[in-house]
Amino acid sequence: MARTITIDPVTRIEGHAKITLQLDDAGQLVDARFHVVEFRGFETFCEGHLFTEMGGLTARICGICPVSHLLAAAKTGDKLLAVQVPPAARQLRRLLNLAQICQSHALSFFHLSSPDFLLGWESDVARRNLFGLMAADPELARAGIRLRQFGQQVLELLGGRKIHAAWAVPGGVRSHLSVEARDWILARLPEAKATVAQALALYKTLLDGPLAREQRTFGDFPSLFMALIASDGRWECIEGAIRLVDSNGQLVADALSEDDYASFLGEAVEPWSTLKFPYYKPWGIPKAFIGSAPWLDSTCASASVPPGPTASWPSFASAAPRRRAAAASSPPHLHTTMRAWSRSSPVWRASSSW
Amino acid sequence: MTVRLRLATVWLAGCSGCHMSLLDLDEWLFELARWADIVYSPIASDTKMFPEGVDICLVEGAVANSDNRELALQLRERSRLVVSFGDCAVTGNVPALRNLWSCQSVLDRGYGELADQTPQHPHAPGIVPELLERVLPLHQVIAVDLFVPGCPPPAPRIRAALEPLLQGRRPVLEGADLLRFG
Repeated sequence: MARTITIDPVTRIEGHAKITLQLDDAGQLVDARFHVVEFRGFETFCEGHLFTEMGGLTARICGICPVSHLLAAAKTGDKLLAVQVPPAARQLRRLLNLAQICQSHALSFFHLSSPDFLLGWESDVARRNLFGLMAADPELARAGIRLRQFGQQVLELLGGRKIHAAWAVPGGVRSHLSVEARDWILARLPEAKATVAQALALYKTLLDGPLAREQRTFGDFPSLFMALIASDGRWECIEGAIRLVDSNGQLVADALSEDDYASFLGEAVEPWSTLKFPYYKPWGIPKAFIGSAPWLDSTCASASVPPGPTASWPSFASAAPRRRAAAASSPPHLHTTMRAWSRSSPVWRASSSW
Repeated sequence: MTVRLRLATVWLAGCSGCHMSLLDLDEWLFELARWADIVYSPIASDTKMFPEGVDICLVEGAVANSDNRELALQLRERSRLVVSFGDCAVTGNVPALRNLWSCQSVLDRGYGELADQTPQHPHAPGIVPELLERVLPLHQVIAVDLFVPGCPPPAPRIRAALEPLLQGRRPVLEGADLLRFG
């Protein structure tokens, strides 16, 4: 008899979601859907506010990545005012975003995902979480907690609070970086880098062993990926041009401007999710979820590894051949089991950029 | 050894920021783990059903849809002490900004006018919850035992609330450091 399996809520993710699996009469999987089930109405209630209030308001879209929304609001404010942001403020915004990347990816890797890798997908449900990890490997858990703390503390040193600091404003930032804050960052940076290196090494070991099977099958579906690229082809996190690559790592579009986003990015609606479905306009809406022109599925995690021919990532490249052996057709950073890796790599880059 | 407390955390309509601030307790989380088991939490548990016999439940977010309301009623029934955790739970805050419009018009704007293709309201009974016509603060839906304001409440404020609770005392939240909105 046909039936639907519902996973509700999806836990240890950053938001509200459910998953449904549709089985046919023979018990075979015929469809699987990921449903986002949160809607607040920012599209409506932001309208009519002063543009200077957008940073404080849009940051509340997400308490995990408020800085991303804050910077988008500040950059838009720059353009409305037609002002050039002073060099020091550009660097301070960059520092803010690097701290954001550090804390958010530390959260994703250590707090949320690592219990699956380290305690096991099939381990006791009551222990397969951050507190289970703290009990099983307190030193690793402490290192992960302190890596996230490092990022959060830098956010507070800059903006006066860890979450929802409306510190980037149209035209620049609200305050300078104090000497004391700079010295704190420099003193704590070696520990942060060591923890990221430890995480990368650990994950590489897992890919070679316990996760070998998952690598071949887990979340293997086509998607487009989007990232920012600096004018010299290097990694970029605030400015730069937009690049799209496909699941095979082939360049789809390059040197796109954020100002023209509406010409190449579209959003479709499906009745079964409150999340809209972004797609690359020149390719149109995918006809099906698998086996046709893919949705633009990943915009920040996997795509933040620089795609295309200019990619250079020594620590990342060292693990790449192992993933290639599992599925030769798709580049490693575009595969689901490698996303934890590609989430760690920007933290390495972030911690190396200071 | 005293009896371990059963702690739950829930997020309703909000941004997860209060839960992030809870994680900003950083290494004090080890201390928390000495006193309590986290029996239900979006960030630290895979349990799908809100369990019976919860001692303390922190509730982030406003009540904005049918799932939020159902979970709020359930957690109240199964928890000894419910904490309205952060400004969205305490006042409705940002999610309640949509109360200036009807449900229909915010959905029309988000999914009709601003969709390039296939404009339609999300509608999947049993999966996508129906919006409530008005977003409500938690205490207008269930009885609340303690209010911890802030957007989000900073970690030291959360600790000031949790530490006495873990030791069986009622926290006294007084003064601007512990009671400020925003």
